[in-house]
Amino acid sequence: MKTKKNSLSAGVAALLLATLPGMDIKNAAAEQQVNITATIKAVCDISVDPLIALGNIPATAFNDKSANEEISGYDKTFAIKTSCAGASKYSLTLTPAKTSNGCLAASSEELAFCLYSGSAKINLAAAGTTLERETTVTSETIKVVPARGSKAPTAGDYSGSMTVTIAPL
Amino acid sequence: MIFSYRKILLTGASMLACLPGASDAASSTTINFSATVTAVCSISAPGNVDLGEIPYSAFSALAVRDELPAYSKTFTISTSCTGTNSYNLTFNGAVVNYGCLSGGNVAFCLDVVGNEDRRINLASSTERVVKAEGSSITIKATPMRLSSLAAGKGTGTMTVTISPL
Repeated sequence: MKTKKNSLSAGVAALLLATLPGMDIKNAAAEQQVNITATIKAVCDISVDPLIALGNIPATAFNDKSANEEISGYDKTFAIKTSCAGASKYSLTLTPAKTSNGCLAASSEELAFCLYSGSAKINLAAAGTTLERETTVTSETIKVVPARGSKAPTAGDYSGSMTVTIAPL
Repeated sequence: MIFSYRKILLTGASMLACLPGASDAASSTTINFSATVTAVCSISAPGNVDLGEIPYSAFSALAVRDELPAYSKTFTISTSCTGTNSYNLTFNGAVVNYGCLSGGNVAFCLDVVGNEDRRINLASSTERVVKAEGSSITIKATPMRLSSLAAGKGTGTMTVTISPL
């Protein structure tokens, strides 16, 4: 009997042990659901020559030119190289430090730099002008044409700056 | 186990907080444009300035380097500059004696006439340069005796160069 009792209690003990892991699972199932998220961002990059120098323009080139009139023969082209990943389109925003009649004005306003994309003049606005392009286009060629400012320039160096921002669309 | 899941959730939330609006990545650069406007000047001077005839006797009474103001002659150099008001005129004599332009048997001494009268010393790299403004400059040529005094026509040649300032 004693041994039977012993074996019975041993059986109960075995049962108890078997139910313990089950209890543990019940507790885990009551816990909250877990959401894991990630956002894959489209990335665009640009590279451009930081200085576009038109070189020397003789003051006589401005003879008989009215305010904001463009001066031919002193153009220069440059390329804005673009690369985008994860987007099919991008925007290029050109923000001039100063404008004059849709062109980038030199700080002294005696000279301006007008920009062209192909044969189309880019009308620069002080708040920024945005061009939209397919990402298959990886280079934007811009032509710079000097223009007379509000007054005729005296001899000297003239400069103006513009920020170019690329963003995937 | 529970705590570690929560940790992941929190990490995810803080990553989202780092990317406001989860906006796509834009890139910016600055371009500087420059141009240099150069002043342009042109000059127009008489091709020939003739002092006429001077009697030999007027010279023979003089010592070498003495001048004959009575036979001087003025002439005008016209200038035109765009992009600047001031310019330098540089006088370059082909042959120079005592700072004056040599004509062989006679020399011609040059003076700027106007609000700043002064001798143009052709022998000096600085004193043969005249800084001026405006559209014309008047020069006076005065004959000067040389040791090689002789009857006959004396001719001196010089080049005048204008440079914008």
